[in-house]
Amino acid sequence: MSDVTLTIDGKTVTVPKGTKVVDAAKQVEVDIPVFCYHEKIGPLGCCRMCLVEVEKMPKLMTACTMDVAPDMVVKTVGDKVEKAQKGVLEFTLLNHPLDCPVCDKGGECPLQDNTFKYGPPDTRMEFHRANNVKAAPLSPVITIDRERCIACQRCTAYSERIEQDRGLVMLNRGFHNEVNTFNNEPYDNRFSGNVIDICPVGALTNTDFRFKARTWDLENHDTLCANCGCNCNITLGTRLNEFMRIEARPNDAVDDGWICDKGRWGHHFMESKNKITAARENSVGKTEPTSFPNFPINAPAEQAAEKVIEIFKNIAEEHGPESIGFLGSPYATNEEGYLYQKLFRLLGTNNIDHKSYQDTPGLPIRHFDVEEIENSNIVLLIACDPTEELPILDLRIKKAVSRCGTKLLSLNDQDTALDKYAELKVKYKVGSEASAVDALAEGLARELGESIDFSSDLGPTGISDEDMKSLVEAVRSSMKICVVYNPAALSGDTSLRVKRLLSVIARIPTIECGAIPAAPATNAVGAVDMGLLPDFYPGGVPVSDSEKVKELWGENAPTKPGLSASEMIAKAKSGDLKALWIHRSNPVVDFPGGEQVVEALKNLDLLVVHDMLETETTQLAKIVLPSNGPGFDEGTTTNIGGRVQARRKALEANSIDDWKLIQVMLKKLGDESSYSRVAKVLNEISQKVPGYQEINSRFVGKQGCNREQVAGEEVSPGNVESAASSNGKLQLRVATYLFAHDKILDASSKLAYHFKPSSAFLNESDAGKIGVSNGDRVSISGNGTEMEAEVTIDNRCMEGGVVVPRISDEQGVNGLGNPDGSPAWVDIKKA
Amino acid sequence: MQEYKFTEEQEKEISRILAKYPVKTSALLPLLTLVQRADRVVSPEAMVAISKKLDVSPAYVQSVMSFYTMYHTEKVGKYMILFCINISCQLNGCDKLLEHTARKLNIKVGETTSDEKFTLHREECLAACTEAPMMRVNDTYYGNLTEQRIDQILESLD
Amino acid sequence: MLQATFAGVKNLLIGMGVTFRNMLSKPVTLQYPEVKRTMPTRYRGRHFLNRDEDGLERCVGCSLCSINCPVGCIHVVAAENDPENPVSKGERYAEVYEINLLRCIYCGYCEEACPVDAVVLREHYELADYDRDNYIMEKQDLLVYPEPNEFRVNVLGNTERVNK
Repeated sequence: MSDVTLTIDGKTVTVPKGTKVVDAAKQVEVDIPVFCYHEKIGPLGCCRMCLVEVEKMPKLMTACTMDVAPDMVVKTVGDKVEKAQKGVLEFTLLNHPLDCPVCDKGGECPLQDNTFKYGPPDTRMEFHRANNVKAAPLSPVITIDRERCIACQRCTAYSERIEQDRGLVMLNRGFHNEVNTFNNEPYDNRFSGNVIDICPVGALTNTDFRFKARTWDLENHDTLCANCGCNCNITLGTRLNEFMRIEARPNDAVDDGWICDKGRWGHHFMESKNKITAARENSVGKTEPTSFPNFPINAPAEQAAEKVIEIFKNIAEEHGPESIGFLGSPYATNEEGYLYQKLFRLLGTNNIDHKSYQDTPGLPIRHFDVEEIENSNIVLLIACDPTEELPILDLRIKKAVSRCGTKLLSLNDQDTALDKYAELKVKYKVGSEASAVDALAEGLARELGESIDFSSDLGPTGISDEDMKSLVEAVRSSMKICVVYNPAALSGDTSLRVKRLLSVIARIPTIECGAIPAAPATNAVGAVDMGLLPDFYPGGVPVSDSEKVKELWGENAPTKPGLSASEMIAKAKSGDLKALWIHRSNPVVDFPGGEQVVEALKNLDLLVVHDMLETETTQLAKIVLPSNGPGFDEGTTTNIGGRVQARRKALEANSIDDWKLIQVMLKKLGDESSYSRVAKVLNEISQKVPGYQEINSRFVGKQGCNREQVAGEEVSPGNVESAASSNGKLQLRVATYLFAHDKILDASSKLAYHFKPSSAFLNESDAGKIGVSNGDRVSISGNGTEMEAEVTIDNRCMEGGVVVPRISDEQGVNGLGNPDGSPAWVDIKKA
Repeated sequence: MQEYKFTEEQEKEISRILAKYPVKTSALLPLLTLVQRADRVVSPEAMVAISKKLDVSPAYVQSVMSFYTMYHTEKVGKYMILFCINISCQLNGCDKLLEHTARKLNIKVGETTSDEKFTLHREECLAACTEAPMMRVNDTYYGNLTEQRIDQILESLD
Repeated sequence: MLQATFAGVKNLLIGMGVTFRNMLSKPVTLQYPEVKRTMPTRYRGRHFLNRDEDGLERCVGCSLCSINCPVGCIHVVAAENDPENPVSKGERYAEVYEINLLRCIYCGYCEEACPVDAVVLREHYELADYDRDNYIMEKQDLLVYPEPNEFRVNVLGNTERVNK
């Protein structure tokens, strides 16, 4: 794009063509006041606050709607402009109530600031101000004060252009103009909270934060949202070590300035009464292990941890290092994950994992940043439902499709909210993702002229040849493609097949390609990078590469592949695994298997759970250690785009930080490294983890920085096994629901109004066979467990499958799955 | 909320209207007019039905609908009497005539008669100053009004 | 000799003149604590919180006093008013209002900042106590608003407490 040079207040500035005068003025530090204009939403020209004088133009112009032009001379000061600004502000303030002392926006209010800077000293209004509705709920979490609204339409423009569902509109006209929803329904979607941040007056306020504190009383901590893999930047406001509110902290490379409602109101778990505050011993489990010393009651966590790690050492010596295992957390920071894997590899075991699905570190092609979606011309979603899993990714894709000319392709087994933006939507049968992915890879390989046979078969996928052909064609003809896939939603070894597909795409010479592994968990990418895996050391160093392992990790580092999470659970059941350490993970609910997982965990000699909230798993644990969790902890996390960002401490906890606790245990085992600060752990990570060489706390800063590519191994998954006969059963697809009623969003949560009853989405033909209609209650059984759900027939998936969103912990939908993670078959009967 | 059903004829009319516009959303005003003419009111149910036809949010339909004064959220009478009260009519005594009409229909301005036959509204200029004072009943203009003429007109409407 | 004596007596009288003059004039000191001084109306002594004509608290909990306080001795936590049973006029009130009188420098900036004339510094200066804890003035202490002019000057020119 060509550049344009213009003069603003005597300062010359060169900006790209198409820039608005307001933005150009910012670059030369000329302040043009605005209300309605927001750089992410675009021009509106509604509030008239940004009037400027432009040479050779007869009237004052709105700087926010005017594109720069060559040799334009703009004046933002002078009598004419000042008079206009005064006039506009006098009008704006005509009916604006003088309740700044009561208003939550007071202190960070653009109307206050602009009035102070440009406004008239007082009003000439002699009549009563108009009265309007004060403090009406726009939704259970947003309060609207219609008296304060200056009708700038920022919020409605946001709803139209960013959310793109036009849920919030201006109703009526003239004096009666008001911001409202259809028929006074609550304004609730996944991103409603952003209107609070963008409202330039106190009209839209946070109900949860209402009157809790004045903005200048808050201590603002720049940290990260901990609720999904996007790792959006947030400002966490606290007062006297109490959590007050969360605001978005714009970072174009991550969140584009927006956060979802779960990020804004879903952090009350920090002050949950279910929080584990002290180490304790539960009277559960079998007889005490022989080596069990007296556990000091009310001991500080570090003392307890020292004792427990000694027991682990004893068990490892007694029964061999294969008899202990560690289940890490995809929610913890990189530092915690790194130190934990170091601890357990020091104990001589590779039984380390953090997930119930298969995944390997690294990608055969570039790991794209989230921002790259905007300048890709094709985005291919595989088994991904960003709206529920990674909401801010959903906004990014919508932006790319509607403003950047990106085309969206979707290869999925269920309908998603993003489908209406998709150029091409290819749906395969539930459970047949392996065949579908292979077919796409094979089709592309054939286009390349390679004679590769993945022996793919479109038969079981239900995809027509045409659809597959057009999908292959769309991918092949793209200039730049970004593949977004969700490894957590892919059964069996399909994520390896996706990687094989990626390496085929990489061989197409005309395409610039990259991928984003979009697992929903907060630090899923970081956990994989940090080597919380049975067969990889940090940075994608395979355990089999004993030379490199020994070089990085010393002579005694174990080089035998360990057990994956599901294998560990199987071994625990058979009694081969004696002791298991679980860090911030709840396998009883989150892993497939349900009852079998409980049985397996009960069968352990020693189960230690290091978690922040009471869960079903902590009930089974012999020893429970307190973890502080988001808000209290500090460290770095890696988001889906491979960006390493700092999660900072916002609140002081009573118990020891997680990383310090692990350090205590490392010392107990004779490890010599000592870390005075968490940044020192990051320093060690940058030395020891390939891909993280450039990462240090200074470089990460407030905005984060991208890590280097983590090396990926060439993968060669086997042929797709033919699926077991269905026998009238249906394949289960567990879908994600953003506002699931779990430990993070408990019953007292501000978002509790989003909770949904259990439901099952069926295909018409299956519903006909089973004999159920919309709204019927059915019982779904599989793997020896049963759950109830309400039927919705909407063809969300193809024949032979059923989609059940995971809506709560009690629902127990994961219990229907097979403990080994293979696709589950369920029986559906009318209840 | 109950589902709103268009009649078969309306459906035909809708597809005819939709065919006229390259962008579906453009058909919003004609569809609202269609519903207003048929029901003498635009109910929330109808707005949802229209939003589904045009693939926009119901809120957007309501926003457009509430901007225009000729769509009504409360059911109006069979005859919509719009009385011009702008300057030319006012100089020619429209206030008195309006009062007369209201008294004759036994309603206040802005209300509907109990038999749902007449609704009386004020309207800013109806662009017929040459015939002031004037009023509009549905689509017909009546100019040079006097009390007798109004009585005649009202009686002629049934 | 006589002259010297005369001069001495004269000087003595001049010196004593000051003494006699002061003997007859009004005394500057007071018999504190029996007699108390009337402070000027603009004197900045102890803080109080005003109520309005309806008996509602004036304070809306806006925290402007606390942010304006140069020593940070005011702590305010606001809460939402119950419309049925309002504590103050408007939507919110101060649930907690504390002033640390030990830290306070009696500059009066809080009074200056208050947009609703709720917090005022009055002429009360007797603030001595044996316990430091008593210097944390909570809302109920501050709302005990005394009658203006508790002290008055009697016919002898001395101050005394007004009998209620």
